[in-house]
Amino acid sequence: MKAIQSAEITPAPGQSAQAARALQNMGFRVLHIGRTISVEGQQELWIRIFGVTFRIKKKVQSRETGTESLYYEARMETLKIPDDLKALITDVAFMEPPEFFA
Amino acid sequence: MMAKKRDSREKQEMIVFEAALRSAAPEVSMFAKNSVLNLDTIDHFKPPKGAGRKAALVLQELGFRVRHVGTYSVSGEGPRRLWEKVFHTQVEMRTQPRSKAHPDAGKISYWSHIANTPFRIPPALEPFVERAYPQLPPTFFESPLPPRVKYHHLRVPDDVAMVCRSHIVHQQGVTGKGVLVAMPDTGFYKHPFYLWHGYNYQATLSPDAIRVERDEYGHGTAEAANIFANAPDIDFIGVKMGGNATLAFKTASDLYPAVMTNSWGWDLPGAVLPNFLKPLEAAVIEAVRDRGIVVCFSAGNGHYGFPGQMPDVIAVGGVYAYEELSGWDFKMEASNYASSFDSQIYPGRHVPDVCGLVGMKPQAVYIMLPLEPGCTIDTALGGTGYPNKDETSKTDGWTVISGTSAASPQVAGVCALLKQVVPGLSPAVVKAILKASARDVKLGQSYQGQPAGEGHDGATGAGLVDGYAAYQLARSVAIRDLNTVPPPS
Repeated sequence: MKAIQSAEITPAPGQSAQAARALQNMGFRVLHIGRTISVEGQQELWIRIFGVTFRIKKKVQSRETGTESLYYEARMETLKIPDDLKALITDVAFMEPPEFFA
Repeated sequence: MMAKKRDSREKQEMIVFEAALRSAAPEVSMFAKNSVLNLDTIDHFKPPKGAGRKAALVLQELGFRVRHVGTYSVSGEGPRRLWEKVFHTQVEMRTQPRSKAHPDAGKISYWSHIANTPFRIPPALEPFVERAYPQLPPTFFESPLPPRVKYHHLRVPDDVAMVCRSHIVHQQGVTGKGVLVAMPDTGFYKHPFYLWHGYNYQATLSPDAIRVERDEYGHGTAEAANIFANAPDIDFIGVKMGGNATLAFKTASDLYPAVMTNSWGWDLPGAVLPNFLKPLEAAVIEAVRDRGIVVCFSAGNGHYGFPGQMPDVIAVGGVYAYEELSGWDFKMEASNYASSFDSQIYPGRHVPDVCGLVGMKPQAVYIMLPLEPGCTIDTALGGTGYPNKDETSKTDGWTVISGTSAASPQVAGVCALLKQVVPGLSPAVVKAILKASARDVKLGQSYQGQPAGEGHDGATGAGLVDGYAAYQLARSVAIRDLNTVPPPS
């Protein structure tokens, strides 16, 4: 299982480009900039910069096939937006895998 | 264990070959430069009577195993060392991809004659056999035609088009031409089904996904066939998901398709939308309201599907159509495999709006669909034991499956027909047309137990999609520019 973690980051109004630049400079890979910014980065980076921790969880991928997917669930209690980013972003949301409704 | 290993090694050391028989006329050879083999000339190359049997006996005496004696050649096999000894030659191991179109499907090794290496037919075989060649492995192509199974099921495209009543619209020349439809899902394998039907079936990667040519799970490849059943001439783009489904949705939305279909989601029975889904919620609203994209989502198969429950999307549930007619239409009932519910997150929002075709419990084995051979779904549902298994092979590239995952792309196909007829239709008007034209389903109940009944009901919403009735409504809708229409006094 790869230890790269994706997240959607909500920029402060009018701050998309600056937020993306700052995240990139911190080592995150910016994948898409829209109303939210899609980024990915090594878990170690998330832990170091946002103070978030992860644990492995299982989730049903499809009831039809009975398959499960493994993913890292972020524990948000410890998440802290660093001071450098406080003016640029308002929220961080870590994705969980969807279920396919076969 | 040791014996198994030895068997495997021996199998690897075997050469399978064809020994071509000499023709009756000594001066005639099928290998001669100017030889042409066709229906008119084939008799010239016929060996004398009994030559095949004689050659087979000699081959057997030499130690080979004869598998078949044909008119023009004998098929056999034998160990590599025997081959090299008998024919005074050498072979070498070669490796090639199983499929050039799908290099990730692995490689296959085989023994091959080395060019310009001596090769001599032994005297005992000389009178009967002109040449002998190790046989190279073929490339296997999954069939564009589905296998036959014995229970009631629907096939794409014809059965699904007929029951959704889109085939009549196609006869009017409305086939989805010029309409871009996007679908984020597990992947989009280039199954010959798509090629042979001449569909414009393209795939791309979400920025965090890899291997555009593969669909390891099989879901996207299978469900996409439902769209083409109702809209065969659309331009289709599948977006293969990586770990972030929101990113895949946004990637598809950035292409500004006219229609998007999504056969996935999260099970959210409660009143709170988790924070991690807020960005997706925003992306869906942006797609519908700012970009004018008609967005279809599956309601779920017993799930309280999100984003299917968002008010902005077309939430698609399921109806089962039997083989027999009941009056002018098929006998139908609400699928007990498909979801229906009232959203706790969005008060006043009922799911579904409208339905596509979905099978019944236990597994909704109902629609024959193509997928990557040997993928997760092919393996999981393949095998005997209907209705829990689909009675197809686990590696044939076909499965019989359904669920609201199939229903959403069916309805999206009908949306594409409407967008061809009146490109300016807003997502809200498309939804209104689908609901106004749906066929009432009065029997059965949904997975959650809500009953179907006269008129709009809990289980099926407005009912089963009706492509032709929707088309008849849409073609008369005139898009008015609000700036030129005087406001009501």
